[in-house]
Amino acid sequence: MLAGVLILSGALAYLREPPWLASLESGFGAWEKDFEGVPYRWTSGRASFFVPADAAAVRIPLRSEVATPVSPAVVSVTVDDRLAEQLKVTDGRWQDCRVRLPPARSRRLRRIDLHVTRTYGGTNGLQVREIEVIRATVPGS
Amino acid sequence: MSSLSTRIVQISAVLLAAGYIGVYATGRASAPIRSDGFSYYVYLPSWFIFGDPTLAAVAHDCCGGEFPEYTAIVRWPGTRQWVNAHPIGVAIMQAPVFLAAHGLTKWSNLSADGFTLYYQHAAGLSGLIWTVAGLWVLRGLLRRHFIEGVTAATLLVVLFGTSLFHYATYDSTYSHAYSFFLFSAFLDVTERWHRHPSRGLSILVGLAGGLIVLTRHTNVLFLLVFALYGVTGRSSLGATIERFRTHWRELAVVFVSATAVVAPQLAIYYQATGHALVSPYGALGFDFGAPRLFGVLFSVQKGVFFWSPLLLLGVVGLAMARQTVRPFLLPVAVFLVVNTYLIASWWDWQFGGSYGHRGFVDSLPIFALGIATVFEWSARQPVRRAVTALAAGVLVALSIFQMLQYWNGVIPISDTTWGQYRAAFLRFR
Repeated sequence: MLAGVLILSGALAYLREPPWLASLESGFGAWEKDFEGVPYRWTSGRASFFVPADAAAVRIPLRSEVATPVSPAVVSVTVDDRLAEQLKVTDGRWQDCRVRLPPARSRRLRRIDLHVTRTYGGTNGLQVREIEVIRATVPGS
Repeated sequence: MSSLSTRIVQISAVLLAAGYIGVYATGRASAPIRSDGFSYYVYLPSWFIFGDPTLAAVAHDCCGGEFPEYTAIVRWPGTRQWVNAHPIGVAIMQAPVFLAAHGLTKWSNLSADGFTLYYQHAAGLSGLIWTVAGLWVLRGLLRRHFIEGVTAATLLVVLFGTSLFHYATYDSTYSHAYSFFLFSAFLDVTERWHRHPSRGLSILVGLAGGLIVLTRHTNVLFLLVFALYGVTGRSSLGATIERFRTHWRELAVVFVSATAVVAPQLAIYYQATGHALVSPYGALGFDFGAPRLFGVLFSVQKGVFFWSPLLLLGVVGLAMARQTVRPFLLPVAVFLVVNTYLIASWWDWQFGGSYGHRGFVDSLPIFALGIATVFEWSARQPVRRAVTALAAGVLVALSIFQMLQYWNGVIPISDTTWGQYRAAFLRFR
């Protein structure tokens, strides 16, 4: 009984923020290349990834293939479930979504979620190029 | 010291876990919640995360407001509400592990959207867990009729000589692992109820029967096993009717508990369509005038006896059954015949992509009774026993090998031709 409680406690402590969490993503497809040869990935209606807690901002180059001025797609970006940025996409051009990260709390990683209101066939949401994580500038460095 | 059949179930659990890890660690399968598994599971995030029985909120969150076509979740004409072709039974049985995964997801700060890592493998492992539970219940049922060795050998053959292992690991979010458990449980409690009817057993019969209907609607036919158990002729039919009449209170408990289990599904259909009884598949349906009986039984495409020839032993065994499992004989024979006709009449008689014919995985506990009967018969004579053991061993090995071929993409997921089968025979690549 005691051994069971100890094992469960240890497992929960480990799973609070395991080392592999930093590279964990969900809702992203495989990398492809557009006609300019630039790599991108599809998201589904929702996608999430983690960034280090000391990041100051992220830059997410994205576009929607289904958004039009009449039927725009709304992209919401949340940081640890708090809305940080909302973007209305009205055409298929690439655009940067810049998100400033609020100060970190106790965790070493922040979770960023992308949500889009329109998809193609229920599966393909946004096309997203390489996401840039911008670190906080350390004074004197 | 645990018995041989108990150890077989324990070893099976370990091998299933190893198989599951192998499937996903080597990238042979994509995330568990996929294809039909998505539709069976999607109720859980809808109920527990979005508090929405209509599926609209989860459609908005996961999929931009529209479910993908492969899910068979469609907007009902007239009401525009979402109707899921796959009922709620699997989700109900996945709920305990889903809630554990939800807690762990919050704890680890993963996205609590119902589809991230822990949800995926909770859904995947749930099918595996219910398969082990099904083997355990089946073991108890078999042990009431057969010796340890026969029970143990039957469990091994059912798990490794058919596509059950595949549906407990690779495609464990489909309904078949759940139905395997429920059929085992229903056979078990039906027999116990008819021997000693009680209030507790009545609730269990109703619960198992209701969940069978909720997991796969056409399996409502399997409830015949309870109604016709013990009927072997006119006199035994009278005895069965008399038993029901004597124990009408227990029978009422069975009916009430089964109705209580099924009621939420009827409420969901009513809310979405304005009718409690609907065909959620819409225009897709049965062609009873042109059943593909040879196809579902013997064809290289998906024939159940072609891909799991050991199940022929089950048929032979049921025909041989005398005292031991005879009370089951008439109801399971009626079920197997009618169910085979139904499967063969379905517009997609191959049931899409699958290893073997997945429509028969649910019925494996029935075949197990027949297989055990043959094993018991062969165990009485050394030469028979050796021949049966050798044949069963070879066919189990072939089944495992062909399952690995399927996982490697060597065998097509459907419409396999004789030429493709011959070209791939005993080849890994």
